Amino acid sequence: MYNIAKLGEIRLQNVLLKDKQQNPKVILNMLKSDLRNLLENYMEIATLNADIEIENGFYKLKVEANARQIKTIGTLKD
Amino acid sequence: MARKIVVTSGKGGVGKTTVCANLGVKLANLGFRVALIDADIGLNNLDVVMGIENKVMFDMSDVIKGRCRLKQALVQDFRYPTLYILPSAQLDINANISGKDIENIVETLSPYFDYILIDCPAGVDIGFHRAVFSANEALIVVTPHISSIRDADKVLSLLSNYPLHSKKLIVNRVRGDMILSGEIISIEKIMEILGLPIMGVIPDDDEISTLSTLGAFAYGTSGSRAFSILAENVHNGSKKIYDCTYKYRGLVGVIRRNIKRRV
Repeated sequence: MYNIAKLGEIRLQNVLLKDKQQNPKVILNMLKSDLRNLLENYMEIATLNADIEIENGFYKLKVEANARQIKTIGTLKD
Repeated sequence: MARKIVVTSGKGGVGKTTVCANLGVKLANLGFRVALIDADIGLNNLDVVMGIENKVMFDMSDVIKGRCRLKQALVQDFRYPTLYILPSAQLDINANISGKDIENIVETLSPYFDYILIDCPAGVDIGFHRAVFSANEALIVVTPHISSIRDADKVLSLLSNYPLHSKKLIVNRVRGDMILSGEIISIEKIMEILGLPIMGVIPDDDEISTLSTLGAFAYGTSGSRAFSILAENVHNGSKKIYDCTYKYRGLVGVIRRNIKRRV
């Protein structure tokens, strides 16, 4: 006999995964912009890459930033 | 000051209004002062479920438009003197009611009540935001069906925009026989998928739907017991969960399951 509940769980998880995959693109661009502004208070950012993956139902954020210079204490904005 | 709890779900027909009404009744039964606010404007049903539809003189839109005082619009329940209902706009569907308007009402009521339960409309449009705006806790009602759980997941992502200090799950219409035979998703799995703690489990009880047709509430049935446990959990923060499967365990339980399937 099929375990209908188990099949339901698998379908549900697939549906929720698809839903989650649709959201991040716009958010990611906004996040990158905000992150750049934040990080530029502390360093001169050359490149900033960010990506969101979904793992076990959780969003996993990967950020990679390359900075030419880190600002010295005393020159930081208030 | 009252605890302001919105009862929401996303999906329609999962039992938000029934949960709101029964939870209000059980909290009032414990001696608390409870206000039920119907925020489902235009599709108001809380008055019908509570059996007070003939007592409604004014509604929320009358209060907001200044056509009556808030006290005049509140309907006292005839069975529980500490339970009051604020009906939603009945005819004035286009009444321009904002979240701020509802918040003003909630804040005015807050010093006089222990609990304010806000019955949220289905969907995730303006009505949802209007209802959630003034709450500081949320109870998300789901049934053990994929469509309901999916909608609850979407609602959760919307609720994360609000400063709610508690979000908990109520699983409604649970059939213990179907859980035991592996035909519906288990409570534990729903909790795991949505990542929310559970506040209560309500069994699928024919008495609840039958009596709500009459504007009455069940006593001594499995549904009534489950709502009593839910009210205790809401008030005490206890984590008791009604076991929907106990009737269907053992030899007698197997016979019951088979009878239920054949009926």
